[in-house]
Order: sequence, then C-alpha cells, then structure tokens
Amino acid sequence: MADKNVFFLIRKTAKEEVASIAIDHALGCLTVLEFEVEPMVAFAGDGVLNVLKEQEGMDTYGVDSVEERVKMLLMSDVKVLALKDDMDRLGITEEMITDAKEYDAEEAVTPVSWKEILKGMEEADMVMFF
Amino acid sequence: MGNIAIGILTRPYGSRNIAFVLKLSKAAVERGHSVKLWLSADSTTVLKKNQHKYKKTFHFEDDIKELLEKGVEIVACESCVGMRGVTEEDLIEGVPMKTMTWFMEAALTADASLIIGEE
Amino acid sequence: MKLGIFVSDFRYDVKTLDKVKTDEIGIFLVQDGVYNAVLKENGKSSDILEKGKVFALGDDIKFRGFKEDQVDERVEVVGYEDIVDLMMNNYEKLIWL
Repeated sequence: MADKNVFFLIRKTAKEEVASIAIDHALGCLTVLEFEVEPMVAFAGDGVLNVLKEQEGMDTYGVDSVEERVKMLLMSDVKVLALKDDMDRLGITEEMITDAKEYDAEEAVTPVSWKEILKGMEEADMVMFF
Repeated sequence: MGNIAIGILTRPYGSRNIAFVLKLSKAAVERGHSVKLWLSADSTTVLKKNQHKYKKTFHFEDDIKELLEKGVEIVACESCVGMRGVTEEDLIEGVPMKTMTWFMEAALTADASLIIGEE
Repeated sequence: MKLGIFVSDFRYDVKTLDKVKTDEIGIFLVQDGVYNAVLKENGKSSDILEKGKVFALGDDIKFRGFKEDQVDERVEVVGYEDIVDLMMNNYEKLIWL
C-alpha cells in the first residue's frame, strides 16, 4: 500500500497540452523517492475521448499521442478510469478504448460510474483537476 | 505556520491565473506560510527575465522577484522550459528548473495544495 | 471530505460540479467566476450559489465594475488573505474546476 494517493481527473481534450501534462504529473508520482505515491487517473466529460485507441500522434505530428501516455500509465500499473456515462453519451464503446496489451500491461482502462470516481477522490490524499 | 504548494500551467499573460497565483502567494507569505510554486507548460515563459514593463499593464517579473526575496520557492518544469527554447540563463535569477517529481513531492507534503490545470 | 473548489469562469463546468457530492463544499469564486455572485441572468441568480458555502474575491468583483452591495447575500466577499486562511484551515482538498 502506498504512503500517499493522488487522484487525477482529466476533462480536457486533444486541442490543448493539458491532458498530456496531467498524465506527466501522474507519471511524476512514480519517481518520488521520499515516499511511495500511487496515482489514479480518471477521464470524464469530453476528456474520455483521450482513451480512444489508434490515435496517430507519430504519423501526423511526429509526437506521442495522449493514447501513448495512457499506455505508459497502464504499463506502470497505474489505474486508469473512464466515466461510463460520458463514454455512452459520446458513443464510445469498450472496444474503442485503448489498452497496453502489446506491452504486456495487466491493467486496462476501466469504464466506471461517477460513484467510483467520487470514491477515488474521497480516498486520495490529494485531488488534481485538469 | 504551514506550507502551500501551487502548480500552474496556464499561459502567462493571456490568462489572469498567474496574477491570481502571485497575489495569493504574497498573501500566504504575509500570513507566515511558506509557499512553493510550480510552473509548467506555457506558464514557464513568465519566468523569463527582462520582461518589458509597459505603463499600467500586467508585469509579473517584479512580482516574481519580490516573492523570491520573501522566500517563496518558484520552480520551472525543466522539459517544458527546454521545449520552448528557454535555458536556465534566460530565467529570472533564483528560479531553478526541476522535474514533475519535485512538484508531486512538494504537493504531497504541503498542508494545502492546488493545481490550476487549465491553459 | 471537505472540498474547496475554485471557480474562475462565468460559464463554469456545471456538469462536473453537479456531480461532486461530498460532506462539505466551499466554492471560491475568483476572476470571471465572480459574475456568478453578482449577476441575475434573465432575472435568475446563478445555480452555483446553492452548491455550498460560497466565497467571492472582492478584488475581482471590483475589477469587473461591480460593488460589494451588488453581491448576492448568500456570498461572502473575501480577500486573498481570507482565501489563504480558508485553504489552510477549512478544506482538506482543493481543486480548480
């Protein structure tokens, strides 16, 4: 069990740098040396669009897509959640969301209810909204 | 007294968030608290020195220097600065560059922490 | 959880705020968020005033051409120092909506 837990909620989409920066902060938790930090990352609102698979960052702009960063979270065993209500609203099915199976990640993006997100916020030591 | 950590990634002059954070930090220091500020993404460019001062417009360099003098720790995200073509020599004296890990540690050990997660 | 929520936009993220249900919510209206403390759009005050204990930053009210006596009676007008005190003493977690 980690010493500290941080809950990230990401609502921004691909137009802005925010979602990537948010994930970088979450990844930054994993290299804190003074104590053990466990981040949890949730996507809600239009932010659920960040977990779509087949984002072609490299082929288009020569950069890592947000999806690549989500995969890095999964590879690092970070729990990644997406709000099911917003997925449904935008027509995103579970088949359309990314995973990191090619990197042998056990974790996958988990569609959840708002109740689960609220629970994550309640249980965390710190909450960060992006 | 306590300590406060604030992260910000907003654009420096295009948004008023920087003004808010600097004023809040000043108030916190005057209340006897210690403050750590983390600037990432576009906000880092407000840490460049030699910002021209125009009459009666926002000018943050002097505010930043004042906060540094009062003991506020102001840190720039290393990779965010680098990708914007800015070097440590370009930054206001006393502002170091560090990684995201520094901020997460600061935020998690603070009595109050806040991230302004918008551009 | 005692949650302090900073709102800096007039048109804030209503959907998310409506879903945040917790023991105690404090709302800090800052920057354009203060319009929610003074305006009655189509004669109706902002729904945000019902979401918790609401504070509004006096400087940002004045910056936008309003006077404190135009502020809804449910809102407490505060200064930066007050916000610092509230952040330190009243809320366990702080978010920027």
